[in-house]
Amino acid sequence: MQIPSLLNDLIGQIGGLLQAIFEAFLPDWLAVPLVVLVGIGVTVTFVAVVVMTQVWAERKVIARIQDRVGPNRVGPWGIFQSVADVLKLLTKEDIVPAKADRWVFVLAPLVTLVPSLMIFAVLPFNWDATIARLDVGILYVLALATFPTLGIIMAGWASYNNYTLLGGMRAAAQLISYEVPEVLSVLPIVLLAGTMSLWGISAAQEGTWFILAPIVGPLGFALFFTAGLAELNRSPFDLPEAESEIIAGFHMEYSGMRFALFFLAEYANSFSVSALAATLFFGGWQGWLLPGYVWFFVKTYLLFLVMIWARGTLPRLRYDQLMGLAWKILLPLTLVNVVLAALVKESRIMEWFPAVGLLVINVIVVFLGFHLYNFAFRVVRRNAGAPLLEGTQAAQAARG
Amino acid sequence: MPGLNQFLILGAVLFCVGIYGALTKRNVIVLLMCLELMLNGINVTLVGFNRFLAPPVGVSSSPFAGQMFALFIIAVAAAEAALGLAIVIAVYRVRHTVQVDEIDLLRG
Amino acid sequence: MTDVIATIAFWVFAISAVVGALGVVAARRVFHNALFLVVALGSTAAIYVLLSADFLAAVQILVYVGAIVILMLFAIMLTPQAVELPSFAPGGQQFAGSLVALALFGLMVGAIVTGPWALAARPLDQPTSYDLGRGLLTTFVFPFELASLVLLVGMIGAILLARED
Repeated sequence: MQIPSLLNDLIGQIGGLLQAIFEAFLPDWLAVPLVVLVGIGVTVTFVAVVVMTQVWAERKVIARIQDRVGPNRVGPWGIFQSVADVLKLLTKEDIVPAKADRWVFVLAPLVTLVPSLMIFAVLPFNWDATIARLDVGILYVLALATFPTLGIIMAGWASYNNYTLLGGMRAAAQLISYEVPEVLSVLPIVLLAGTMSLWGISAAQEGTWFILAPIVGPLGFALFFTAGLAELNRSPFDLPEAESEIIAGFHMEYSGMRFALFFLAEYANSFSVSALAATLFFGGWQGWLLPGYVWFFVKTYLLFLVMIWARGTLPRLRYDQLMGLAWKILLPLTLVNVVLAALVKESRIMEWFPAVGLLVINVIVVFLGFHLYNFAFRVVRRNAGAPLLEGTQAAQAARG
Repeated sequence: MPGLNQFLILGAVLFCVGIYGALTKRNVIVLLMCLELMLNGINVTLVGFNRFLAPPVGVSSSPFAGQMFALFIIAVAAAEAALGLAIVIAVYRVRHTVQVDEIDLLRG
Repeated sequence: MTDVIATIAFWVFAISAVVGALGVVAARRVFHNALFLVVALGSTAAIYVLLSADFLAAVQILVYVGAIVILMLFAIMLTPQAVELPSFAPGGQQFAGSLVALALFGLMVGAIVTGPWALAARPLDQPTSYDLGRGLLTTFVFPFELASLVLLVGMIGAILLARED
């Protein structure tokens, strides 16, 4: 499709224009950092706007799942509700607990937020609209995804509160447990694409998306999405920050703008994880007819819709169930996934098999996998239920 | 772009600050942190050597030997930190202290 | 122009690395020591980026900041001290320690400045992931297997040592 030449490489064109303007009256070595600073400002503004749309979408969709309407007063369909929320949070009193460690208390939201914003620098919005085409893109993103753990520990400790400390440590244990499956589930995609650069991974899905890779695609996507949900502290893994748990966990003492920073970090991270899943498994900007960045946003928002759906429908996991899921189920599956990906890569099946055929294979695999899981669940239930029942009957018989 | 000397001096500073901390701090965990500082200083030196002294890719069979070294140092440092901290926790359970000069049962 | 920016970046990150290192040694509370270590390690990762070691920089953040420092924070939380004792050894040991450190630093700087370094014609500035991966499986396969064995033994040892019983 003929894209107007103005939209080609929009980021590069605007950057070049700004640099030319600055270099007219500033020395070279000051002009480039200024352009970079402007770029950072634009990116942060973009993230803030995206997060506001995310919050609105989440509240409306969750409301519909729960058979109510959601915010509908502030503007048509309540689209300005997020703006009202931000204004409210901005005008709240800034409370720092008296015995809190002031520096660590203040820095904790920043340590959580800034890496989340840094991830947006490598997301490939279009084949020519990536801010930085890093050669180690996915490793950079995964390295930055380990910072929120540090921020949560800092927040929990600095609040000088037993409950925030406990909440922070539980959250940290959950986050470090799910880091391993998250990193390992990305490995098959790097194997199939032959590069760690996110731009390169999107470009490698020219003909067939990686989700169509036999077994490896759906399995890898399920593992990455689950681990990503847990990394984001989102339902059904939101034990650390749920209201009915240990009094809202690590961010209990935070109010006003500081809490807004944590909030912003979580939603920016969820956009990043959705965008990553779209890039790694669904081809990023690849698509017919529409321009690349439209496809990118459509895919990202659809995956974010799946996240909201999971939040609205699934019950919360208990802590031991959560840890058991990470270490006993996700980790072995990711290792199996890596081996399968090596087989898929060696057989070169993705190159000559038509995409439709791969889709049929994967649908059959998912169908069989679902029934296998149900069968295994029923077997485990049957074997575990009998002794329990006997125990109850024996206890009743003993009581007489 | 600063030359090789600046990077080497940075590595030396990190190493010497680490040695000072390892010789004077009393908390065992801080001792381990200073150990990590020393290893980082060494890593900076190695990677600096790799960039400035290494022959191009076609000529040598392992042009990135410096970075490979640094990678292995990071991996082994991770294992050593994990084991060291496990020992610290085990000692704390028995002696209820992590000060270096109070863990002296084996002193002659 | 890139040169000037690279020099500015080097000095910013070198100073923050040294500040972080001094903070590790000088901070009064153990928690702050760990946070200063994060500053030092993060600045070192930025220095790696300056030295075109992109893979190593990402691994440094992933392993050191994302795992080792968090491990240390957990250990700090699990070993609370009843009384906050002074963190430094008595004065004589501090003086001797600083003497040793300064002497060593002087020796190293002397060696660095006077050493005849055989600088290559062009610095090695290229993406490293491919060559590192290739090297790990060809030239350095033996250390690679040994390192994985060390990590396995370390994992088993840490679990055994830290168990309750």
